[in-house]
Amino acid sequence: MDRGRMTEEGYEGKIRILLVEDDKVDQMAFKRLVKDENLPYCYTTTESVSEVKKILDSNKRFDIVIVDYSLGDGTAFDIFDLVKDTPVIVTTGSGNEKVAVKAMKAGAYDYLIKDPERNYLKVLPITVESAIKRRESEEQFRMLSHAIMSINDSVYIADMNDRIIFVNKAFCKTYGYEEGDIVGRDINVLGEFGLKDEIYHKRRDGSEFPISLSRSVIKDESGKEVAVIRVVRDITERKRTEGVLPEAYDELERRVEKRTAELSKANELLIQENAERRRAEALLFRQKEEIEKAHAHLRETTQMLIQAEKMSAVGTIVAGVSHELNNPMMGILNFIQYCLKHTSKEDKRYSILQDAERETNRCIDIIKDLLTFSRMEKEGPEARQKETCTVIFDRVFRLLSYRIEKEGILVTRHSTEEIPSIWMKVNNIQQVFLNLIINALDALRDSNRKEIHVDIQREGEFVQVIVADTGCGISPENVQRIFDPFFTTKPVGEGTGLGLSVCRSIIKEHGGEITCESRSGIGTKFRILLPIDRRKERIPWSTVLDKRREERK
Amino acid sequence: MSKRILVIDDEEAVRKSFILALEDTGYRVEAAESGEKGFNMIQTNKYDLVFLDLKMPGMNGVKTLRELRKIDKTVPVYIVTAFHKEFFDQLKEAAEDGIGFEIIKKPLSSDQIVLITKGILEGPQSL
Repeated sequence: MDRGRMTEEGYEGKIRILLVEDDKVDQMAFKRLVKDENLPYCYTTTESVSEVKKILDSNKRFDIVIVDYSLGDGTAFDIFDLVKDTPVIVTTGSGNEKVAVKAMKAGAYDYLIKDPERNYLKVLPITVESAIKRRESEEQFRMLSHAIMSINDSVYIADMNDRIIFVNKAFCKTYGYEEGDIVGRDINVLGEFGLKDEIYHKRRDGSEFPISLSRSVIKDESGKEVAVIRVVRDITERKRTEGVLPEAYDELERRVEKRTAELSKANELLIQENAERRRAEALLFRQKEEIEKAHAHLRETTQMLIQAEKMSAVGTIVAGVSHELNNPMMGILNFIQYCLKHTSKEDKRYSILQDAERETNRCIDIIKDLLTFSRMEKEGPEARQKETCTVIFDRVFRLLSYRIEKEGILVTRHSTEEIPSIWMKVNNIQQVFLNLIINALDALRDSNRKEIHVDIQREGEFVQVIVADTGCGISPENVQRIFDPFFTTKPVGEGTGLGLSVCRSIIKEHGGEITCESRSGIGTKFRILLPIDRRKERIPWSTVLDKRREERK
Repeated sequence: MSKRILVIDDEEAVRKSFILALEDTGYRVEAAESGEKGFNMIQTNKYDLVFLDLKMPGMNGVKTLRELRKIDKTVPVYIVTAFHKEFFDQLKEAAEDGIGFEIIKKPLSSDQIVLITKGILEGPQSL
């Protein structure tokens, strides 16, 4: 603890010493000691009482004063009065021990007997140190005493025989004793009674009061219990409040209840308002949805019209061209057959003529298919006829057989016998299937495994058509968009982005549904559901579809 | 006396197809490249069977048919067509007017021509 040692600039950490010594040799010896031992001293040397007075008047502060007993203009006792609280070490000549005892009694911290060999200087540092330490603990003690004396809680210390040896001011005030009346008496005089949580003490006048009590045992350096210190707090006020508190709580609760009720009501109103707002929002949302739906429908219709227009134009050309081709094809076929008839089977030209005949027949078939396709746009909305999906796929694959063979694609087709025919716009449905197969062929272009699987099944009131390929697949973000008009991943000039959107429109027009599942790098699967009889009912299929969708889940 | 067949078609390839296909059948096959010419031939000759095209410049197939029937009500007339929609209504009307005809679809192969012709001229037993 450095509390007792004042610090000044430049002296920090050093012990400030005032040496009062009229013997020059002793002064020099001191100085040499400080220098030789490298002691942490910062010192001032004086020779007389008057000089000390002058120095102290200039507000200079010291941690310790070392003073020779006899000075020219006085003695060490004169210095005691001047330095007040600063610890003083008195030095005297040998044989002057009586003076030393006198000095100690007068308040000196310590003394040193000067011997002729000046050995006393060897013990000087220790003496200085212990004086300063003592000074510090004294200060500490003073401070603690002051603290204990002045705190508001009552403190009393009793020795191990329960004799009171100390009380503070608050104790005296609370219990009504003078310090002198209580010190030395047994603690029983406080009349302690009660249980752990509810202890009462008696004042001098016999009145009782509730207290809270803390108790600590004081041990000396060897660990021996020497005293017990108790801190007492008068809790009369708290006890009183405790009685009032429940009432206050009740009142508070009542208020809270009332406020809660008010808030609940407000909240209910708010909820009602919210509900109304939500209803309005829902209505708005539905209206918005309907508008969006109408927009989507309009967009689809527009796309269909564009497509129809396009197909109509293309269809007319194709129909005309195909038609015109029929006559020359008939000619070619018959010319070849005439030649075949008049060529010996041994003639090597015979088999070549057979090839020519076969290829011509293929051309004739293609023209037939093209005519079927081109006719569709000329049909009115009621131009439906009964047809099975299987037959339509026959035509589609015949139309694409050249490409399928050339690109080395394995096509598997599976269908059960009892696939019912459907009232449909044959050419439109054919366009859908053709589109799907062409898409599959495009997807297979860079695949190692080149397979297309077509599966046609009856599914209750529906015919289910699945077209699956082992192609490059469609990324998840694109799968959602493939049915959007103008969405295409094909290079410019290869796809218009209308194909699948038109497909969906056609399937929808038939009261059916088309969905797509795809995994990048693995393949794509289109599933089409077409209602078997659309002639009687038009709308309810959508509800049946919804139900089926539910079931699938 | 071999049976006479008339083919009326503006397309030479078609006319020639019939002629070549029926070459060794013993029938006498004649051809006209227009409705007008065919009608003229029917006026001067008696045919056992007529193959008639629908879409022709000048007198089309239906018109030719109607004119032909005014002269010969019994000769079998087979309209050989690639199905031109625009003539369907006229054909329907003709049928409603009691004008007899059959329709076969182009293109026809040699075998088909022979089979159809024999079927008509000899009856099914000849096949």
